[in-house]
Amino acid sequence: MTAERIYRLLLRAYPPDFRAEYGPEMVLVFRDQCRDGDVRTVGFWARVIVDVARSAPALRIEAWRAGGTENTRTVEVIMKLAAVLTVFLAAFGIFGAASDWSAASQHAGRYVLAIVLGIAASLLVFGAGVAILLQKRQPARVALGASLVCFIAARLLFPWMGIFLQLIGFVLPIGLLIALYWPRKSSTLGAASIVLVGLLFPQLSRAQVLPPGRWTGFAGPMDRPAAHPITFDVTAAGDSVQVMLHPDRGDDYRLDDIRLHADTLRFTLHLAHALPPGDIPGGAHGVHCILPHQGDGSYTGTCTGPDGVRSELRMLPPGSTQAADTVWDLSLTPAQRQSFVGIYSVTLPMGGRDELRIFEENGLLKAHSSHENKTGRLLYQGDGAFRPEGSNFVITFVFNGGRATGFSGRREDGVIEGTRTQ
Amino acid sequence: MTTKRGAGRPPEAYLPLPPATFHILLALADGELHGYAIMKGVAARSAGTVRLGPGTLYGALKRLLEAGLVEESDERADPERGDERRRYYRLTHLGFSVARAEAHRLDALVRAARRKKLIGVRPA
Repeated sequence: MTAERIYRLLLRAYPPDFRAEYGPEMVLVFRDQCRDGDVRTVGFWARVIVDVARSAPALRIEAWRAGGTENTRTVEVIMKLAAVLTVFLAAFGIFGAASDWSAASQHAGRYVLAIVLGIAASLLVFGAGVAILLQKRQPARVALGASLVCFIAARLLFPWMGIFLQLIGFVLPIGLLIALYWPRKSSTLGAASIVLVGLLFPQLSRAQVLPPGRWTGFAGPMDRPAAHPITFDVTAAGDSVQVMLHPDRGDDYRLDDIRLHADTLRFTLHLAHALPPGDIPGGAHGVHCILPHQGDGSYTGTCTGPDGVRSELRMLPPGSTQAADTVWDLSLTPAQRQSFVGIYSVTLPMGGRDELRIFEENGLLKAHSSHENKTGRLLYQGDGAFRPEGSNFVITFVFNGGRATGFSGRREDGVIEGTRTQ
Repeated sequence: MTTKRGAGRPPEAYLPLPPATFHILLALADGELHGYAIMKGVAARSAGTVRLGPGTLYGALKRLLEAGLVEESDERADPERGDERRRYYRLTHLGFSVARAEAHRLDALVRAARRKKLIGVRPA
């Protein structure tokens, strides 16, 4: 192997671009050195190797840094594309949050505030996207930080958001913040924002715990989802919850393996009490339920038994006054219907008065409002609760001596209360 | 393609120069030279104490070209060697200014050292 060939191999230590630009010249110079020096001496080769060993790493580092500059330019191009996407997604977020406004109006306080915060977060993300496009990095950072705070506050207040909105709300600002800081040296604010998010995520997970208390709901086959009114007792036990299901008839069930993730409630139903040997209904083997969170605050979904039979289950959190349109009119015995029949003096929201006459007609319970001069059916929801036909609220009766003595309910505009007068 | 990053910077902004770089600028102060001629000039001027290898030389030339202190003139064969065509390099106006500024800086240092009698007094 000739000396020049060895030197050509040594040249591979240099960055490819440098080699392409100066390699032929360096070989010429080496050839001159060989001509003027003694290529067979150790000293000659020692000087060649020392030269390569000293200069090649430095040039490699320079090439890597230059590549870093190119990467920075690439990141900025990506940032512009991301900013355009952000503007569109934020517009979608604003629309999505605003479209939930009608649902929010049915809930007081926290839900409404959460929606307002969600809209504010989307607007801030929108502004951040525009700022990035205008190359205003600092305003973009501030807007993204503020958006993140608003979004986290909204999520903590009320978990109404879908997974897609949460991706926009959390992942997009965090990703953009990291990208905005990445090409430059890391800053305290950037690090602090990441730490803040890290600290808040466990809080967010905790926010997805079922509220304790008495839940209501319905269960039934897929063609009659509200066949059986049921109640749930949700009790806190340390960091977890214990839930018991009480059907209107039959044995109680226990909810096991409760997981609430991405607004979907999953659990397995088991009979609460051990069964005698040989008596093994489906519940003993576990019924798997998947209940996505609904816009009205309920968890509604399907349960699948070990035999593959599916049924529908609906869980309404404590304090829910909303009756779903899907809830059917449950059957009542004639004696039960008679216990509600009578005339009730009603106090309406804002101090209005009404007289409600509840009567039975062709086996159905109906109510006539003298205030509205209107008659409508009362649809039994179970547990002493009725939904006036065409409404989205329930009235719950109280009993004394097997006879309804009054009722109360919460409409969109406030509380109504009735007292039997006759 | 090289980019001149030094546009608009004053000559003093480049100081102090690495010894090898100053040697190259000094060599090119006499006129345009190809790579091996620069190496020979540096070795001769330093009495053999500074020996630039091809890697060190072209690495420094690359940086000087990017900084705009040196430019390529043309490519031609060395009449003394009469072989392949070689690239020739020459100082730019900025390169001259930087070399001059570095020489003044070193001169001030040498005068300071002389005042402190660290080296011999210059004969009158």
